[in-house]
Amino acid sequence: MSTTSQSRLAACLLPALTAVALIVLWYAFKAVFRVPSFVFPAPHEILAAAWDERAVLWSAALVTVRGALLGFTSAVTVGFLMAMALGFSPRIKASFYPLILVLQMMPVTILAPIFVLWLGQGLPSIVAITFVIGFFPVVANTTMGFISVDRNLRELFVMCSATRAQEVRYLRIPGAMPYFLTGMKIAGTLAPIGAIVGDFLAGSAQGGVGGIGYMTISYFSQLKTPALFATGLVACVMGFLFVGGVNWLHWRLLHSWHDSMVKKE
Amino acid sequence: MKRFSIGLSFAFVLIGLTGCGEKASAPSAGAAPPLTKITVQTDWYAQPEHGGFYQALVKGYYREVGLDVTINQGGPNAIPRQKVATGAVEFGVGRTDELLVAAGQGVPLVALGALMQRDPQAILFHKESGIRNFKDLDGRGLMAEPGAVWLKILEKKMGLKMSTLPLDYGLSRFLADKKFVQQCFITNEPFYVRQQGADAGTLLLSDAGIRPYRIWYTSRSFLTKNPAVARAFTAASIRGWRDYIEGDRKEADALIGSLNPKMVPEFIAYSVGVMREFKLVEGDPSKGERIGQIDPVRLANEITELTAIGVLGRPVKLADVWDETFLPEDVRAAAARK
Repeated sequence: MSTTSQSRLAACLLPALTAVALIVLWYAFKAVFRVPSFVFPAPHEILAAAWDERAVLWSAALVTVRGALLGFTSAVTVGFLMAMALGFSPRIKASFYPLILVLQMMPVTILAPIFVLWLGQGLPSIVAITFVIGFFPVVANTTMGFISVDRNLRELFVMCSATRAQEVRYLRIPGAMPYFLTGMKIAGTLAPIGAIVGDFLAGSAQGGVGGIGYMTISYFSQLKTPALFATGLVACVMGFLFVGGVNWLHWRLLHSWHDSMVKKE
Repeated sequence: MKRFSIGLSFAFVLIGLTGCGEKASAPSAGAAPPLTKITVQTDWYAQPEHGGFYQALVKGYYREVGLDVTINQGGPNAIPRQKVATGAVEFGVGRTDELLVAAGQGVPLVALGALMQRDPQAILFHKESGIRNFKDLDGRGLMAEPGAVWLKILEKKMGLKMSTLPLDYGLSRFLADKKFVQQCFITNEPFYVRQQGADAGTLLLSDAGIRPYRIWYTSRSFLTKNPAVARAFTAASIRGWRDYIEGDRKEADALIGSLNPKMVPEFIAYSVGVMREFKLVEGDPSKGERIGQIDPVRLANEITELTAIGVLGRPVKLADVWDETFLPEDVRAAAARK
């Protein structure tokens, strides 16, 4: 067996073994301390609840994914444009960047009720909350990318008397790409969380079925603890999908040229 | 950090629940038995709607029956049912529908007595909104507690289609928007919104036939081990409630006001006035209702209704959640009907 396939096997086997060990511990903990299921359900009870509630959880997930996707897309778009403006001139950056950092310090849980007051209940508020949670990491990282262009390359562009537009198109944007994608990865991890927080405070439910955040409170108040854990499971899957999507994009955009993706020769 | 803030409150709940062990009740021996320490977890901050418990406390009714009672104020995350079920506290305050839902999830809680024959839960709306009755709620948004049983009853039994918004426990959105509709206690929110100049109306849920009792309860395991404590607490609480509604409330109200500064004298006067006007605590004496009473027939009807709308996970029997022998004899429905 080659070393690479051996390490690949270990990469799959080790987490699987750890997971099995954790599940055994879980059952043992429940049995020894006699923890009732409404406090700490067993894994099979959570899976059973997820199955029983599958219709509700599925539509709840769709509601949350919609909010997360819209918020994420707008955060990435606006964040990129903002970073471009900031990277364009040191003056603009000096004027706005510190203020953006101040705004970033504002916890989204405090902003959420304010958005609800301004935008009303439902999707607009949820998108705004998701936007805020994802916008700052994109701006901060991408701005860094725009301003940390290799000096030698810039001088090369000057020597070739490239226009400002050419410099942006062929040097600055590609140079900022890895930073932008890092910001996007962070935003992608945060987007489902933002949408769920939004759902908590700004969600609305038709016939008792809202987004994942709404269902969390609902299950909690009905003491349906296994179903409450199941919403966690759904949120996990959602997070993986988002991060997976961004990783795929990362690979698409960088694999042909960037050092981090090119295999060692 | 944001990732944590969501999970944190649940994590605390878990830690709080798993961390609490068995509490030994004080042994009673000798001529002057020491007081038994017990804790009551209410569902909200100190308010006149819990007045009878505070009355029994300040008037010494609990001490007279050998109890050293602590009243834990509730709030949005008070989770009395979970605390009682895990033994963190001995008694909880809530509604029969909540207790039945818990029983349906296999959480063994037993109702002991009712602090209110009629639930003050109501719908709060602006009179300008054109709402006159429950049917007018169809197609509107309603801010309410997600998962509340009465919401399901309105939807399933009355066929109302509403979009529900999670409760934020505030009134700012209501005051900012003349079309806004939310849940309230008729004993509470109308006072504040009228103070802010809003022309608010209410629809009492019990007028739509949604009639849970507001109750105090304990866990099955506590009841089995400490029947005398449960009986004593129930008798003293009923005495406190009678006295709070009919007698001198000054000391109890002062305590409520010191625990919860929002409870100013004008508010308490309003709240108690509404309780009296609607006979929330004592119910209708002509129907045999009494302070403290839980009528097994009415509770059985509630079980049937909740079973029919499908909010009880597994079948619940009357005996799972109710034991009449803990009520003083003169309060029981059968005695009152005679």
